[in-house]
Amino acid sequence: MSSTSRGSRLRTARWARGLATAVVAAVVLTGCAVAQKPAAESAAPAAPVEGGTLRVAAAADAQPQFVMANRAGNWSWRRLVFDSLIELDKDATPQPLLATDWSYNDDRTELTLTLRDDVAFHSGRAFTAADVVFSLEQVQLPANASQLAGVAKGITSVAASGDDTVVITLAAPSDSLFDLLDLTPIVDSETWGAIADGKEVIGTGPFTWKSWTPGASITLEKNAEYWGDEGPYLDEVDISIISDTTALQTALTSGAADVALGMAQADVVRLGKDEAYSLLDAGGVFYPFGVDVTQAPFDKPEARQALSYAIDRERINEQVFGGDGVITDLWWTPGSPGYPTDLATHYTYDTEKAKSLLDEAGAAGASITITYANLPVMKSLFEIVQNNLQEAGLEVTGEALDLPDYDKRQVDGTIGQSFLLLHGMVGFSTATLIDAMPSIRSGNASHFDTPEYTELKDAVRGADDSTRDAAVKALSEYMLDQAFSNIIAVAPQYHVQTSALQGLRVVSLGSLVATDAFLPEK
Amino acid sequence: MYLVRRLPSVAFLLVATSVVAFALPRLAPGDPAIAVAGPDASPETLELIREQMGLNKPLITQYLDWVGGVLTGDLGRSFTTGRPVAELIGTRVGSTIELALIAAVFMVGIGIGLGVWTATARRPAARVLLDGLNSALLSAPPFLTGLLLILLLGIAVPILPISGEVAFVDDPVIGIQYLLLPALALALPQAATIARLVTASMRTTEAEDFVDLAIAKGVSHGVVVRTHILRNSMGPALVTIGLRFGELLAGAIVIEAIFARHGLGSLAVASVQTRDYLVVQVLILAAVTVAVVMQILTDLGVALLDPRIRLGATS
Repeated sequence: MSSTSRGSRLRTARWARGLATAVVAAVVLTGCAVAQKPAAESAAPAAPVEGGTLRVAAAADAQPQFVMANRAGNWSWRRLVFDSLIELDKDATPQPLLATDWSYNDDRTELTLTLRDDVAFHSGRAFTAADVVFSLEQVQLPANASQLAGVAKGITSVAASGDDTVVITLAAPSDSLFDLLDLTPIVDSETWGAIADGKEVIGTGPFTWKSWTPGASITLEKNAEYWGDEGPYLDEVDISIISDTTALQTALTSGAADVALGMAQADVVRLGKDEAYSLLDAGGVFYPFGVDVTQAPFDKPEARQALSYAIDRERINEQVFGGDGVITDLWWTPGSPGYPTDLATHYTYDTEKAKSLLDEAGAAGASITITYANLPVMKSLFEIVQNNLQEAGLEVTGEALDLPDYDKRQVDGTIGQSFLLLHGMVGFSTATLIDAMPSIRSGNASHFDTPEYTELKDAVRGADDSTRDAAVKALSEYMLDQAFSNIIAVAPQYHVQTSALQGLRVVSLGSLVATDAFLPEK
Repeated sequence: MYLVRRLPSVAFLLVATSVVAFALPRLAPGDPAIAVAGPDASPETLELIREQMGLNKPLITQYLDWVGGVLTGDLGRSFTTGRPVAELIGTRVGSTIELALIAAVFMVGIGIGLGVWTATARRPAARVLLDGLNSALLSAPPFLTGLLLILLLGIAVPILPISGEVAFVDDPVIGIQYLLLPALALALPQAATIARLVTASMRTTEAEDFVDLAIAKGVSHGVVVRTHILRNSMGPALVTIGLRFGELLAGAIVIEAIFARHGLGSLAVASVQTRDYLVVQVLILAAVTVAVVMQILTDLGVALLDPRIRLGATS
């Protein structure tokens, strides 16, 4: 036998051994137990199924210390662990939760609420009116960072009358009070002081807080003593924090998650067209284009109005939001009570009109800088706005900022001459938005504040069903005329779930409600 | 003796690192209070949060407080989670160590294997093929390798999980499946570097007289390669392996994000994004400490391999 053929046989044998080892390794790794699971595809059953674990993938981590505020990191668990007094439905009409009934006095400065008497906290302690008093006191404190702290400060007293009645007294009538009651969770006074590190989070909701590994995961368990007639059906909710957008969509599409929160717009659009997934309406985002009214040329209203005429909102909606946004000039939640539909498209795209207004203001050919956050959506918006304004004769440069720097300059009021902002506040009432939305509230980045503006906002805050339409319309007309903040898009926001998951809802500007949620039987 | 001589320079390095680690996150624009409470929080809220975080104190006081805490074992509390920094790192470090160790095994195994194979391949076509493979692996960054592995073995042929993790110590069979793809993605570019070094080093050693002598004495090819060439070529490779281990940890930042693993890399990214100064400071300090330890271990390893080297010798 030649040495060449023997060498060849030995090489062949070595290859065969290597191949066999690889096959054995593959069998061991994938055969013993398989970690990769297929995405659920089955159709929805008619009746709820008891048991199972809901797997949530969320882009933002929990912030238990800010449970009083609307924060994206709390959307995945806040309304699972806590209940509110009421819940606003799609028409902004209050529906009972912990409060079963309510009534105003004649001048709407006193609201009396009747509470459920069969509710207990996860610690076993009975829920009483004193817990409502405590929770509404907490929401007023700046440390708890509620966007509705201003509304809460209008409350002069909260008094418990027995265990199941609470009387809220206001300094003046407020059209935001039910926004406050909807957003504010009822917390446990005995454990509230230690909620910040998330080791003990006690509410009255359908799921109990079991554990939190910051930046990694949250585990919730079924509250077997929940007061609701039906649900929860799920045994457990596992929330994975996945901040990378690619990994987030991979988690959903690979079957590792049943619902994903905070997905990139492009992934939402793509999965929305796939029958295996469905979209949950999670409120939306206002995109205002603001200007500093103390800086030329935007110290003149004509120059500001010119910007609004120059912007092609339809193009923005088509190219940036795939036609899914709302084309409007208004700062209010589309379709909310008092929404002045006739003013929604006050500024139509008209480059010639923009040019003539810029001439009138002596701003033709002016150089401006637009500051925006270095995010894909903002960059797309900037490119269209830049193009539109250049068509109107302005010299436009952009300044893209890292998000922390952008936020800091926005808060400090030094963001620049003109700027693109974003506020995830679609869903709030108009009366709430005027005090909560940074673009238009007191101390806004535009430095716009006039006695007339204050007066018109006061009218909206104190409006009721009979005066709301007129008050919101008058304020809208004034703000459109002043044009210190120009809404260029109102885009929807979605959570994406597998079609197999049933009964999951979204409320309060993006929070999940899983009381009635269930998964198909395996 | 060698270790004692290294102590002053190590101490100086760590003090300098603590200053840099303290200053670096503060030099970046942004405000931790806004990152935590959001831009729509009221100025009153933000001021209160800054006070709670201790950011209103003079910088030198903040630095001394921190260093004093580190020396007494108190690493401080995270701004964003309210948890002790030591606890946060403790819950994440296991994930990164698992990933780094498996990646290191792949890196060393594939690196040395590929290097030896390339150096000993006799057919020109095989050499070209192996050199090409090496160059391809060298030029592909971990995130690209990771995404390709996800597409291939997670989506096209879904045999391995591509999102999340199960601790290896909790369930070794499932845990290893979660580790394979990220570890491979992390290891391949580093392995290619080691392979190239091993190949070059072996080719140089192959031309030495003692190798010719061994062949002339009739020592078999395998023994010559293993005992004479490979052993004498491993010095440079070992130094590189030590350095590359540090880069594995750096690469884990990207790989953990892509594969949704929750290790120190993802903690570092989240902490930088939220300006969680105390967590960032400790991670920087820990990274430098690990690098220093790896350097010392490498020096000891090289001395062990090559008796001619005496650590701490002056001439």
